[in-house]
Amino acid sequence: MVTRRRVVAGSIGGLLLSSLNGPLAFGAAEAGEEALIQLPGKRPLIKRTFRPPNYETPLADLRPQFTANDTFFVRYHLASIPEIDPRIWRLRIGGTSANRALELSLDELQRDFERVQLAAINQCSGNRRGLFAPRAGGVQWTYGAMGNALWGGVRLRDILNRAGVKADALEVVLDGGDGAPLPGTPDFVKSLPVDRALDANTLIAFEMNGKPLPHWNGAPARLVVPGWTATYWVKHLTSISVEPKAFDGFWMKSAYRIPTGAFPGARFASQENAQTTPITEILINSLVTSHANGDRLKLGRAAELAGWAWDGGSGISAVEVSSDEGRSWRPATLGAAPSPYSWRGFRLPLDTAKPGPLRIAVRATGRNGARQPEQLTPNPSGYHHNMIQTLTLEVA
Amino acid sequence: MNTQLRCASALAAALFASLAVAAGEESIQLQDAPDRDLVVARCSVCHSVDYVQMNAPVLDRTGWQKSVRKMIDQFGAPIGEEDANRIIEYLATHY
Repeated sequence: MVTRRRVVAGSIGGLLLSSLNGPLAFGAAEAGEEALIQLPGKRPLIKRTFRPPNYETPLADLRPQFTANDTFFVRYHLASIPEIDPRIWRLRIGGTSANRALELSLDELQRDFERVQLAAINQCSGNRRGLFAPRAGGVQWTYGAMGNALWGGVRLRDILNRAGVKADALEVVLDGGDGAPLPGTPDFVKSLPVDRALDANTLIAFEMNGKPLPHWNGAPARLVVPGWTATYWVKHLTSISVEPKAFDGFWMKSAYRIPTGAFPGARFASQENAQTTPITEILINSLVTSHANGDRLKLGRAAELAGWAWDGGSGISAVEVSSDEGRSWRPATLGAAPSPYSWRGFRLPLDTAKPGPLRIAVRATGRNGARQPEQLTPNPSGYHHNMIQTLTLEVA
Repeated sequence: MNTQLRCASALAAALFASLAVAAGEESIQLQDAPDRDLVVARCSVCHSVDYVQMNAPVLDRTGWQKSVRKMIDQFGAPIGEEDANRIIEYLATHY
């Protein structure tokens, strides 16, 4: 099923400035066509590419505290995606720095290890790349290459400990069942520093929001690395290797890298060089879900701004809203956070007493003191788009 | 079957399998111009050609050049020099 709709895109970097009074850029509304297309088992999502499938969640579907399984975004690098029969699926654990090799069925994984649940944001490194200025090549996501879910599974640590981690272990290498049509294309394989792999919050999940993982989100089991961008959350997980040296595959050495020292966040020392380093933690960010840029408000009628704020796990301490282009800020009311890795709601009444444009800016601050920036930090791949969101609403 | 023939038919089978398009993909229409069919045939082996449309506002001639070289040099696309140049020319001219 293909449907089309008119979509008002967010502020396009600084290309369409309609106001330069304050430090913040307010973009004019730009109408564009976006295709809403339905994958099997999903509701209509914003199609970026058919094959490999890349689909983002429409803004309206990001309003619930937990993003529904059938509206959660879909992101693949390679087009051969297996339909895995969970009865014959096996997870292999081993590697040079493991004491022994294991092979686990889904039943064994679910039965033999302590079950845990954790609410966490799953956000693509390139979320909002399509809003970058200067433009960056890659999937042109807007706001919906992310979602918040309750992940259910077991701790990666418990599995690694059963295999036995040797003292010389440096990285844990993770491979999934997806592959490329051509044999020469690098398989999508990722690694984690051994400390992050052994973190109590790093999970192998087989449930999402209380149900089995959807096919398009990594069935029957995927990695969950709360606080780190989704590139590490390997889907259709098939093998885990504990290794004494840095993994040198394409998806670590050449892709998903940012300029060294340009951003805050955990360091991945074994993969770092003087120029570039792997992207790691999600940076502080927020998203207005109650309104989109260009929306109209009825003069004198009560209206409320609402949305989500999140970071890489320190937790959100404040969300502030400005209606004078960043000169003054008012604190929004914060909601509960199911976990520090989940997003946290905010809300604030809007002043609809005067007709005309209402320029809104929202910024979040974390418990670690980090605050959303006014400007983007340019980087070749368009990662870490977390600048203060601005919206122009029309009161009439 | 000799080795060469076996390899050739295995490759043909691999290409055939990978050309299985995703539902809806057949609706994509690239600009009608010389070498469009070459671009569609070569690029579609691994991905739908909406990647071309999506990156059109982002990539200039140099960008397309880098992108095509990346597919050949890093992603293993079996595309010769002459076809690569024709593909780059089509993309740079029409997108």
